[in-house]
Amino acid sequence: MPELSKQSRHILLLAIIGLTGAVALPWYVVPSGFWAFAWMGQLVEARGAPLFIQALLHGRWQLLPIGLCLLVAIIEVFRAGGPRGTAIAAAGGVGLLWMFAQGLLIGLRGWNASLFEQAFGPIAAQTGFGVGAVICGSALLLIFSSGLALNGLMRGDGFLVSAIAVVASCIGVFVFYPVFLVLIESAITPEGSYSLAALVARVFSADVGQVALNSLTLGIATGLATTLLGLGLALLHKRTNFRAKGLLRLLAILPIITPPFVIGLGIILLFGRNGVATWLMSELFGIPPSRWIYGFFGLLLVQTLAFAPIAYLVIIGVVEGISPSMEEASQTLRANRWQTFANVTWPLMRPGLANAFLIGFVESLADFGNPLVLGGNYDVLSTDIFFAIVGSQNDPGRAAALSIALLALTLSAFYLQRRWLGRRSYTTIAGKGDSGLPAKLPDGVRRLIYMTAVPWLAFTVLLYGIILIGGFVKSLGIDNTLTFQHYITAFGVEWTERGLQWTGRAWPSFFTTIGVSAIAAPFTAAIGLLTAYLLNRQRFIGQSTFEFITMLSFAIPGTVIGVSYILAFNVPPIEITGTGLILVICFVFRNMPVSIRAGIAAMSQIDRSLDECSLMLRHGSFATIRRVILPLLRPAIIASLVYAFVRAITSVSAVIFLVSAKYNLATAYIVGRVEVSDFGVAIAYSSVLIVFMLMAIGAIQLGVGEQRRANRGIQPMAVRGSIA
Amino acid sequence: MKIVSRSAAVRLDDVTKAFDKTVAVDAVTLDIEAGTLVTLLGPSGCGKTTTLRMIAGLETQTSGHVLIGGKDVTLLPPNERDVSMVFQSYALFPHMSVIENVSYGLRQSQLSRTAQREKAREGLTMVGLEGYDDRLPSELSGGQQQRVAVARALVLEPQVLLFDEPLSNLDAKLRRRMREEIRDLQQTLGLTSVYVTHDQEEALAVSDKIVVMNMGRIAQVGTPHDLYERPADAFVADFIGSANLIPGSIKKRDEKNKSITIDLGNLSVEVPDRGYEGSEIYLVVRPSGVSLDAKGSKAASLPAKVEKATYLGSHWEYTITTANSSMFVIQPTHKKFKPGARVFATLDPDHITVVRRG
Repeated sequence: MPELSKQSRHILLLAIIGLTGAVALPWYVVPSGFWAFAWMGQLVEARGAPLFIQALLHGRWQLLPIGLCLLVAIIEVFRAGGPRGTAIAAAGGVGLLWMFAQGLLIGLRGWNASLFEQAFGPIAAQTGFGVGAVICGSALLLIFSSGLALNGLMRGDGFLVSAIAVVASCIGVFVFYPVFLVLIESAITPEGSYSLAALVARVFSADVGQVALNSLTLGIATGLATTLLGLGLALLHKRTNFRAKGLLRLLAILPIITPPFVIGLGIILLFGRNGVATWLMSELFGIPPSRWIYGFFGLLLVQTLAFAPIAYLVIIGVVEGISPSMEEASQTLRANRWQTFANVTWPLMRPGLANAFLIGFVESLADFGNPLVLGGNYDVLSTDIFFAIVGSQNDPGRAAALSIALLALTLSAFYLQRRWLGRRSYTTIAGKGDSGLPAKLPDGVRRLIYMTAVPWLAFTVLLYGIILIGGFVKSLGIDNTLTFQHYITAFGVEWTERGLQWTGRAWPSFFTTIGVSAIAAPFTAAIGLLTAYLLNRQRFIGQSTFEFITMLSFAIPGTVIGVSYILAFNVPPIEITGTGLILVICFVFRNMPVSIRAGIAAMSQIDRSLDECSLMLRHGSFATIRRVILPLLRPAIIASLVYAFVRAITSVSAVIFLVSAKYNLATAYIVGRVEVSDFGVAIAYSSVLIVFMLMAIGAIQLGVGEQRRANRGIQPMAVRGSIA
Repeated sequence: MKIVSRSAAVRLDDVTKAFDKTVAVDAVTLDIEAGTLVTLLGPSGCGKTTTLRMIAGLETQTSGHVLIGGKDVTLLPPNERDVSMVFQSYALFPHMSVIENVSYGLRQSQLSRTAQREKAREGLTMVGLEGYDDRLPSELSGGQQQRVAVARALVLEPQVLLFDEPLSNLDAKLRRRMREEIRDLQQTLGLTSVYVTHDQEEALAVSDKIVVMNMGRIAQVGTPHDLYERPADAFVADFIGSANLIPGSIKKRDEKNKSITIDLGNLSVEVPDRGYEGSEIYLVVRPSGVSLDAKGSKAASLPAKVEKATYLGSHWEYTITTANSSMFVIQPTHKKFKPGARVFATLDPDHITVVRRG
């Protein structure tokens, strides 16, 4: 037996793992769940059998080539003269392609296309990939990568090739494949065939057009309002002697830890028909209660409240980026305060403001929770998509068309941001210390800021106050007696003879939320940081495309992701709807972009010569990551974990399509309560979530207290990319 | 745990590196003998660092081959080539102590943990840093960081040791001391070293051989003496020690005495003939190869006018203009002239060489 090289041993190991999956583990999803291990007794039955048994005993000959590809890889490893890269890559690539092709072509009712039925005759139906298939597929993908590395790709660094392949295929399968299916879905004609005309007709129908116009109007109005307010808040923080700056910092964290519809809830408590403010106004001024808050103005108000802090975080970075010495130079050149502001400060901020506007615009378009609770008759895309799927209409074609319209709007904003703003950064502060003092604002501007920003701050504080108090009264505005009833209903705990009983109705969804978020967080951070490493540290063919694709996933609204996951993962080959897994996967790929940004920001701070040096000191790229990059990235890793965790808990738009009776989530549960006007429990639950996340963030901030400066640098970056 | 050297020769065979459309290194062929220190010298952007990085394996060449110890390493990644490198920024890992930094490269070796430590200590001793084991890089001075970086590269006993402008972050005095220490270590251990710098004085001081590069190509290879005294062209003459390039033409070749007479318009100079082609040449006059006098006595002196006079303690620097050129001249302190003064410049034929013009 010839001495095997390191790479050959690696390929052999992969192939053996793959074959183990093909011989010993069920190829298809097992109904009772993998961890129940009931499949161990069914290894020869059609449901629980592994690949080779399926192929030999159950007539599923189409699976055989997958196993054969693994065998070919093993034979190639022992070839005299060592394995050939091309042959190994072909074995892996063909096996993988074949696996997906047969999975897509043969579904729950046999052949998916009648063409094949006529050609090959009927075939046994098959369900979604199970554990065996996942292991085989992963092994084939890694064998494919090793083959390419053997051929000298990425200088023969198998780890890097595998990392690129894994990230690219994950994004392909869990972001682009589902979104592609949305396009397909909207192209289905009533007769069941596909045509471009059907797609065009659907997307450009008057009905979709009206909803899109509504969203566009709201988006522009919200974008403008949040940008102006954010600017006011940022100037208040950085350029005035405003005293309560701690309040501003708290305000900056709030949108991150607040489920998006909570502001809407607070507004209903204030201005709804039974709201506190409505009651006061009718008592004092005789204004009759009305439903004015449900509609465009209510939405604008709520979204401005919800997203102004994000604009503030973006703009504060812009204001900080303006070197005071620019303004000092202007002043020494005989300009007064107003001229300095108008001719220097303002033009330098303009690109940042445009960026903030686009973010506000996209946030508004993607916002799902607020239109759901406050939309009234003002239909917007994100909620209409939801109703087209879950409502009595159940019209996936319409949902797909609406999704395309929404996607088109957000992608346009994303395109503008990249093309138009990408090259116009006026950051004038270099890495070196700049000791200048920023110029004082002109009096008029300062007064305007105080007059708008301060009341706004007060309003926000009031709103959160109402939300926190609202859970402790019977029915705010109607019956203001103090009660713990809502908390008991939701979070009751009883001590019985059988031990502690979680009797509250919210516990199951609360535990699921925490569990799913906690599982998703490390995966999100891992894949995000790995992608950041590839983008920031490596050069490879197709990198700009790779970067564009990962960044594009920023721009896909949650609702579209939700719809696309339903369309894609409800049927074989990947059949995971109704499981906890789909929630985890959804969270990972929804929040990955934030993690990528945090990773890139942190990695840009690490001198590239450290990597090169480690490489020169005999360490490969994997050892370099482990011993040099990761230890230096610790703050970014923690920040990524926290964001992934917190954002998973607060997200609603995507997962509301994916929750099931068994796996319900906190936000979906709260939305359900709001829909039946059970505000008390909804508010109590929201308050618990907010306080829980504040404590979680606080605990972690304490743990990494000395990294505050670094975190402050990362936070605006991270939020900039977030699209709810 | 003695640190020994396993020096090997390096050969670059027709190596080219292109970034998109710009060619950084253009068909460079170079042989570096085992145990010698060779400097790659040139202005920024001449391709010297890229050449070094291709030897290291950090850059992939567009074409050509790199051989170390006779073995073709063209396709090997840096971690599989037997080379190590001292970086311009030192690249010390900030989260590791001095001893961890130095033993980092040994962690991938077959040595036991204690043997690694012992060897790392030996490396630290060689650079004069015993007892600094547990310091962090941030607690060291610039010179100490530099020594750690050198020790870290040395303990791997590489076939080739690469230096990428290692002294550029140090102040002038420390730079002089460190370059002597590096040269001592290199000679004691007999290391093959490739050293990149843009400082010609540093290059002259440390090198066995200097490779002058310009615009991606090798302009000249030679010992410090060769380069200073027999520059191949105007670029090398100007880059190695400053030089006054005075255009002239060869008037007469004396085959018997092996000398040529050069016509500078109003003056003729006779210099040894080293086989120049063509007749259009530059006379290379070193700043110290001219003596200024108030009176012109000999025939071979040019009348000139002092434009600028700078007193530098140990000597004077003058800028003078002659009928058809301007010259930069260094004079001992007793030769004192005021700007505007009329002087006579006498050229010392021993300090004059000739390079091709055009």
